[in-house]
Amino acid sequence: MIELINSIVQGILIGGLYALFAAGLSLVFGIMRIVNLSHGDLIVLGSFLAFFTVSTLTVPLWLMVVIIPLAMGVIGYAIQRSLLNKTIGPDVLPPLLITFGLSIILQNGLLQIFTADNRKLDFGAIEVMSVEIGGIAMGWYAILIFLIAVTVITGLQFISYHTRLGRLLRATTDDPEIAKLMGVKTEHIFAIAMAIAMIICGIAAILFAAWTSFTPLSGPSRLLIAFEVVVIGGIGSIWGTLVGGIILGVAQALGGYFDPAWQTLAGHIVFVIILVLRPIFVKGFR
Amino acid sequence: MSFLKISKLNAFYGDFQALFDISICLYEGQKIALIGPNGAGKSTLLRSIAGWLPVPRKAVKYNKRNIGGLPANDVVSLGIASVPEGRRLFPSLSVKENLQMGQESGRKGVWSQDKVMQIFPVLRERLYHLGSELSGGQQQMVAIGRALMSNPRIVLFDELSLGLAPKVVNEIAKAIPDIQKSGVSIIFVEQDVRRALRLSDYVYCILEGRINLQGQSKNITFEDVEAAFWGQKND
Ligand SMILES: Nc1ncnc2c1ncn2[C@@H]1O[C@H](COP(=O)(O)OP(=O)(O)OP(=O)(O)O)[C@@H](O)[C@H]1O
Ligand SMILES: [Mg+2]
Repeated sequence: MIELINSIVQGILIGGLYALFAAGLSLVFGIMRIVNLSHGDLIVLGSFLAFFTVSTLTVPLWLMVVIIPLAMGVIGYAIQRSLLNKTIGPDVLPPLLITFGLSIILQNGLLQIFTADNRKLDFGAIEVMSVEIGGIAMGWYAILIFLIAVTVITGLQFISYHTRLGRLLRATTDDPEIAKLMGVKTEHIFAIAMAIAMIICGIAAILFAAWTSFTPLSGPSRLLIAFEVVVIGGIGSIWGTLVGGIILGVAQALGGYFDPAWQTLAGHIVFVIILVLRPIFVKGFR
Repeated sequence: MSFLKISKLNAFYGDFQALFDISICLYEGQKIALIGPNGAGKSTLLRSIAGWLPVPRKAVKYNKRNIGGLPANDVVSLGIASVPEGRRLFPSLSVKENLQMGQESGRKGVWSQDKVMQIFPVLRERLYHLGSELSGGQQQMVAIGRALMSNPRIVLFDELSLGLAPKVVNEIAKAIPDIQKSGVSIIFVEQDVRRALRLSDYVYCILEGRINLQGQSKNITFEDVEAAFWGQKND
């Protein structure tokens, strides 16, 4: 029994990380109606950049943790301004094709540079330290991930509803045409949104890189997690991503509890069930 | 001297030509009414001025500058604000935030949230409601207030009264003198011909993308406009 509870707690904590994967995807989709198929690969790019900065450039961990999210933000801004802004329009296909292409370029580029080897970031002792509360052992690192996730999501919520930037982001989400008519440089707002999404990806990339190992081809599975979380939690809802992340994390943990082979599958099954049932709950049974 | 001059404007949606050789002059302080049946091109004309449509640079001249086809965000910062067709408030922003969006053009001047509340006092208790929770008339007031918050020289006003009760329209029309006093010229689209003639100084009738009647509002009668609408010769 205690082991079961243990798994659930673990699932909740890792759900925070999944929420971070999803928050950027949701933000970008909400504002620009772009489904960024390279989202997962950009996270993996972040992981590699983190790995490269500490292992090859021997930058201290604390500095890397600051640099990588910022670098990802700059990359996000540049990609949006130079590439994705040109694909936004009534037709949904161009952004899909371009981000799909970007995904392939990133995967192959990373393979060229870093080879297909498994990598992992080493955070030292904190990765194995744990604390026992009421018989439930919780890893410090998992707790740290969850706390960071909650902080980031809360921060995003705060920016959205209590700052000028947030107002501009929401207005642009509502009606980009009218936002522009009011004097908003929507191209810039789109790029800022992508930058914020990529900063969050950078944070998630670092955390995940120390949680499990990764290769240049890990992107699609990250994208899948993000996608499922967004759908479970509700598109465009900031807190929804946290709820969605926790649901997916717990589903995987429970699956893994009964049979390790079921871990990922259980997540997908819960996703499909929610996808099918939600319209029924929303509209009510007739 | 004219302040805003549209000359020989042709506007297109893809291959479809919506406006043909339209020429219009707006003088400072003037109120121009645009009338015409559905699909005539009135909104297209306002959109062309506001920068929604790619029109030739020289087709729109404002304060001695050619501004045709400039991005909409630049046009509003030059002092040409819009009250768009269908009002189009930001549904998930509060009234207060909707008004704040009007300030994004960065123009300084006399308009503020307080001043908008003075001309539309009913909005005062609605400041923290969402745009989508207001009645049509209140939405129109917010849309006007939002345009004024950019301290414009010209307001392009699409559909003054569409879908609104006469009482509400009068309430809004009452604010027009105050708006003009702040140094604003107005081009507005109005379906009700008599009201359009009453509220404006000059009127243009548009039919199928062409101007087919224009003149001082005081010299034009309802019957003239009717004749113009039916495509009859007017003399
Ligand atoms: N986005 C668009 N794409 C293609 N054609 C358009 C578009 N908007 C308007 N049109 C066409 O351009 C012509 C002029 O339309 P416009 O909206 O300017 O008319 P209007 O005079 O404002 O009419 P209403 O009184 O109904 O608002 C119409 O034939 C219309 O079908
Ligand atoms: Mg119209």
